[in-house]
Amino acid sequence: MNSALSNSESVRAQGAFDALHPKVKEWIWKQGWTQLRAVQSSAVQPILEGRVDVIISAATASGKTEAAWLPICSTLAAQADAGPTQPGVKVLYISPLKALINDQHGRLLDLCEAIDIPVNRRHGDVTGKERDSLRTAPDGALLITPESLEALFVLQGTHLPTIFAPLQYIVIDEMHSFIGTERGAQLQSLLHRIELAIRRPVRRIGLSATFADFSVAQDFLRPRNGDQVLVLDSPTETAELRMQLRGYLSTDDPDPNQVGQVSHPTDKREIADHLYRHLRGNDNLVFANSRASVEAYSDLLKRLSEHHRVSNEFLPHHGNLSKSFREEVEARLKARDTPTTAVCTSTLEMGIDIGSADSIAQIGAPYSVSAIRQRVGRSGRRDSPATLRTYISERPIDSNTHLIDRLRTSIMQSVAVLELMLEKWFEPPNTSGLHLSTLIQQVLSVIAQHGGASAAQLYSALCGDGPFVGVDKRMFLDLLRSLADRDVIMQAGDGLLLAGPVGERALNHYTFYAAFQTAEEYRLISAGQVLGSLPVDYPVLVGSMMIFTGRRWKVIDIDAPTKTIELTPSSGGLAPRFNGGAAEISDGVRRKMRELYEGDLVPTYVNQTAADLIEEGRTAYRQYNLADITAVESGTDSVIVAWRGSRIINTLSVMLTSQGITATIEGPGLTCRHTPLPDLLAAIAQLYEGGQPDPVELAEHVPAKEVDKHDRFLDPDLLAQSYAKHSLDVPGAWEVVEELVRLHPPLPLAYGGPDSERITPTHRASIGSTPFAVVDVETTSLSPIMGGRIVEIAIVHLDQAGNQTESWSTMVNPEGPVGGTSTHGLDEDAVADAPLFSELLDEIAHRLSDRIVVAQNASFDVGYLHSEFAFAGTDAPAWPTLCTLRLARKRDPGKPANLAALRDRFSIDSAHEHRAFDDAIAAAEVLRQLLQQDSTQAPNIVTDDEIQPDWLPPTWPRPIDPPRTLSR
Amino acid sequence: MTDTTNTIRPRERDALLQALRTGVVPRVGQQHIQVGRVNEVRALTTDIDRIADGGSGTRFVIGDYGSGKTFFLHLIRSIALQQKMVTVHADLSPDRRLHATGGQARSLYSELMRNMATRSKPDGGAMTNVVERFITEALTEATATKQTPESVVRAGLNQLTELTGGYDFAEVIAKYWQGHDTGNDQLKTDAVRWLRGEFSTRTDARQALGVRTIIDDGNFYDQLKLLAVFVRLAGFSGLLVCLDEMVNLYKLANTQARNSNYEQILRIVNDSTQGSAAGLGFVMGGTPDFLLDTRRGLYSYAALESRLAENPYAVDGIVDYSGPVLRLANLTPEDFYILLTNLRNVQAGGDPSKHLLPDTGLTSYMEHCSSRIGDAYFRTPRNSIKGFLDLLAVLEQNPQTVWTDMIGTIEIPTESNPDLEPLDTTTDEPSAEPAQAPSPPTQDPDDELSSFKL
Repeated sequence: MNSALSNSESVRAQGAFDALHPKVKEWIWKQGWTQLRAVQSSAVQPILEGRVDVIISAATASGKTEAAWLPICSTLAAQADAGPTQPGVKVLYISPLKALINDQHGRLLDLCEAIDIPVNRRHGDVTGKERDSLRTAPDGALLITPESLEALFVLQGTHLPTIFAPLQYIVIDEMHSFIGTERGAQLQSLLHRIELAIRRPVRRIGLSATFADFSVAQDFLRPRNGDQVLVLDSPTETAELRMQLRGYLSTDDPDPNQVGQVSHPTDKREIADHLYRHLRGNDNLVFANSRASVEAYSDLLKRLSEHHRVSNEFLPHHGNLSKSFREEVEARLKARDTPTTAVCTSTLEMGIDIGSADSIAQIGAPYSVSAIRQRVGRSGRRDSPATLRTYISERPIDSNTHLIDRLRTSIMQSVAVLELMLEKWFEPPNTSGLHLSTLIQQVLSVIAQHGGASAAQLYSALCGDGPFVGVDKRMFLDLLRSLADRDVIMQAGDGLLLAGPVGERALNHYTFYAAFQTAEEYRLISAGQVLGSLPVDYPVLVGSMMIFTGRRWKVIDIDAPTKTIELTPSSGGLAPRFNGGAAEISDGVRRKMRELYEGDLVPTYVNQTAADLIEEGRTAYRQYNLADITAVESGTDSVIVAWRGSRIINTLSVMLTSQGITATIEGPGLTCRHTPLPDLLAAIAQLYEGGQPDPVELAEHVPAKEVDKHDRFLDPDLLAQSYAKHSLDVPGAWEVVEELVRLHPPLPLAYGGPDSERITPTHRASIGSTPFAVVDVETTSLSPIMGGRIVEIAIVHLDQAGNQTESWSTMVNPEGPVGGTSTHGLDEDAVADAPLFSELLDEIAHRLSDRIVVAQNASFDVGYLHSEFAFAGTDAPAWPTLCTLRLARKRDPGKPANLAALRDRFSIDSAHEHRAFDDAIAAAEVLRQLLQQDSTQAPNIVTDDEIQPDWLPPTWPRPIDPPRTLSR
Repeated sequence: MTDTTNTIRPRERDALLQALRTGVVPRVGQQHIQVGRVNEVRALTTDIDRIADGGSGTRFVIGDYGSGKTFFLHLIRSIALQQKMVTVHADLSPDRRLHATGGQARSLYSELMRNMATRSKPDGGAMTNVVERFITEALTEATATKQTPESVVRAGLNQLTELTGGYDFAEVIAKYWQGHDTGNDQLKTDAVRWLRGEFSTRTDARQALGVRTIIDDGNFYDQLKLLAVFVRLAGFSGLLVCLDEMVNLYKLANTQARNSNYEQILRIVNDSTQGSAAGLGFVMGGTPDFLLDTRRGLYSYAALESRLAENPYAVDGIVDYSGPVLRLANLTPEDFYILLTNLRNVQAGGDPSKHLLPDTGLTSYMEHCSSRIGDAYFRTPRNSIKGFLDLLAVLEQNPQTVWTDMIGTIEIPTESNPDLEPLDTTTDEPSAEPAQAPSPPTQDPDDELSSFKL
């Protein structure tokens, strides 16, 4: 379309203008317009002809609304000239926002008065005579929300054919905001049902933001026939955009000026100060990501105004504030003589005509390009440049800082989103959902409209030819049965489906008309106290961690019917401050972030602190060697970092859950608490062996799957299907799994890795007949995967009964730098003369041979042994292994089971911790005590079940010459 | 009722056939095709006699879809007309209910009045005739008793003013008389329009007739009671109200609206059992769901359940036709066979020598229907009757055709809600779904949809 437009544009514009009705032309002259804009002139012909559906796409404020209305009004005027028209609504304009309708109403009244067409509006706040006129004398243009349209279907179903008899055009404003949402599915269904009611298709005109790929929008506007939709994409008028990204470091220093009041952290005070100095005196919008921070900033700014003894121009605006208060703010923004800055959530993102703001500020990382684009569009409408300031604060790094925070993800995500915006990239909407919740609503609505309908009719009207393309007959019947089981529908003797008691209650209440959830959130409860509420749109699993009010919590119960999540405070580890967890971050943003980490771009629009923060992030990225997909050990946790969108990360977390590993989503990372990396990798290897899981089976592992309004009426099977379609991306997550397996090839691990069957077993290992070898190693780092080596090893032999028979230990030269000195006390000098592991290999293998290998946290020690054997060019035998950590946990569930704690509990003399020999002796003593405990008093802890694998590899012969050893 | 020997008048024959071929119940000649149901008809005839005698009565005619409720109701109506009664009838729909606040009750009232019938005007629109008859009666009486017509009219109307809303009703009749007396046709038209419930605002009614009220949702039933008194004043024996498709009340999705309608029914049942609605009878047709469903049927309304409970002894062939509920059994294939015989006879004008089809033709037609739409052909016979008459029409006009060739070609569609049928998008090419070409088992779920049972 673009190329066709750019040629001889003004000639076309004139031609288009001439095609309009004289009264419309007169109106255009009165506006003082010299020429139609490109998008306006290209829309005239196709809309006047009315043979195709049209998408008009252009930047905000480029006149796309008029592009639709001028030819529509022209058609109506021409028809009015021809004689009296059929009574009824002729144009339907559907908009997502009441405020947008009010605004359009004002603008259209003028144009439609010129051609003598009445304009009516209908939404939740319209009452009285204006509302009644639709039934008594429907005419002209009707501006409506999808919800009010739904109400018409339910309450006046039988009048619809009359009301819409002469309907010619349906205009959908802000169409992009509907795509992929439940509300969008509702809208599609309503459009289809209007056509069914009046028994003919009606031309649809979508007004939308630009898409890279319009096929999604085309399919949305005319499901099944998207290819026949004409797209008018006007060459984007490149408006000037001024941008700044400011970074801040926060400290918790109390504010000296505000004694006795709520104190805000330094970064907030600095940001507020900057806002105050630069925004005061103009009309601005300040977007903060949460209501709480809206309140915090408006409070800070109010205090600043008081402090400077000036009137306060900074007002909060969010959904929880009363209507009158919000309207006052909107009116102030619209009026030029009252400079006002609204501190708001996404409420002011779209459409509401508040005039144009002078500048936009964004506090906190923007989570999507579409949202930030929408926000920027609110500024600079009057041929002045758009201005966007972004404020990001991060915390200083200390030894406790979480890996994800070290990466400075907030600032990197902001840069990624801003860069993508400059590249004119745009998130593709998620159109994979089945929208079963909305289908339920529509089933009830059709039943109410017609006073009952048969299954076949419902299927054909909604799914077969309707917009619910993803639902086949089988699934639809399952859905109906599921609804009947829950008394939502019932069946009359002749097969007619009617609303059941539950469905009837839903239908009789006004909240039925909205397809989306109205403020239904999960309540978070801890020890009987309500902490707050949280919308749950990503998987929450029992046992997983969750961050709320700046603290880390463990989920102990989820109750879907009452929508409560019970939490208990989780010990240890600072929560990462990254707070984008709840919002959906797309794949494109994450991949861009990785590109930024890899590159060295420091955008010109960032300030010094921000540039420093970017550099810190890159340093951490290099330090942890976070390529595309990585698993690293961080303290006692393992973290998978994958630069993928939240849907893939969510899916991965569910996959790990299916393997018994609980993982918490933290930004681009997935943290597995208290899981040593080998365990994680073993789980991943096992996952990989099982092949790509079925999404629906995977979804069964997620307890809180009820995301949308009517999901509670779905049986578990349908719910899993719905969830799998909408929230899981198994192929995407599988790529990550494959990559992890490729990067970390499965080690023959203590707990029966896939390789362990290579060696033919000789005889079984069992408690009471096989002796033990207790082993402990000290290492240079926490994981062999990061190049860690053994610096000290000790092996203590016990007989079948657990009595110590022999011990052996030595330091090992790791052939490289010695890390972890603070832990084990060894440095390069100390181990310089020690033997190499390869020299010790035969001795160690012999000492472990024909015995059950025991260690505290065995996967760590055994994992290191495997790694060292691999370094020396041979495979380690698959020793039967026993872990004292697991045994101790088995005996005292819930109590700490680290070696220090066990020394206390088992009254073992505290020698030196983190000396291989002392630790091995301690572990041996734990085992002895467990083996020799009175079996009449407590059940046996050490059982054959605990040994994995349970057979002995072939005997490793004694080396001819014992190797030299070096003790401390 | 099946009288195959009598000849049928051509006018009656054509009207009958035309109605049946367009799928509606004929207004005349039902007796020629009526099958069975002698006892049911007798029970209703007794009712009509009682109403004509100044009594009252309410009957619920309950039967499955297609069991012939509508046909039965029409038959009863024609019997009532023979008994010099005035009848009104209407189908209920989401827009026509017994009780409403959005004009749906007034809409039902208007529909009833539009369909008002008398023996001399059986096709509806008899309101003017009834009022005119009242005037004529008054004039006759005035001549006989040597009073002024005015005072006779007033005396008659006095009886009306006793009843709720009767003053304005009487006033409107008086206006009609005034219009009649002074030759003011506009006044007469306005009066009839008011009686038919066609005034929608009080202002209009006041300007036209000087009355302060109109017939609206609130006084629907009171107006029917007034009308019953009025038709007796006009010399008719009573008023019979036939309400069909009562199942629409059962289908109402709004619990409140449904219960209000059931409350209205309770009022009607109470009045008629207590005999306080002289000369007024109701016959209501509905499905078993409408009556029996305890969640949303009449039985969901406790007061109605106790009043309408069926005789517990009337089971297993023992019948009681005296209760308020009259059960219509489904048609059987045997009944349908007799129906076809009757139709063939009507088509031949009652002359067996002109029968276009031998008896074997009837059975093979039934087999054909059965193979196409299953049991529905005799349970809901509308479409199979239509198909049969189409066949006869072709055979009659094309003597060269042989019936055996024709039977297999007749289409018998199943009935469905036309509003929900997919749009006929003729612009679409038929090969629009190449991706799903190899899908042979589509037949299976299709069947499942149409025969879906919870």
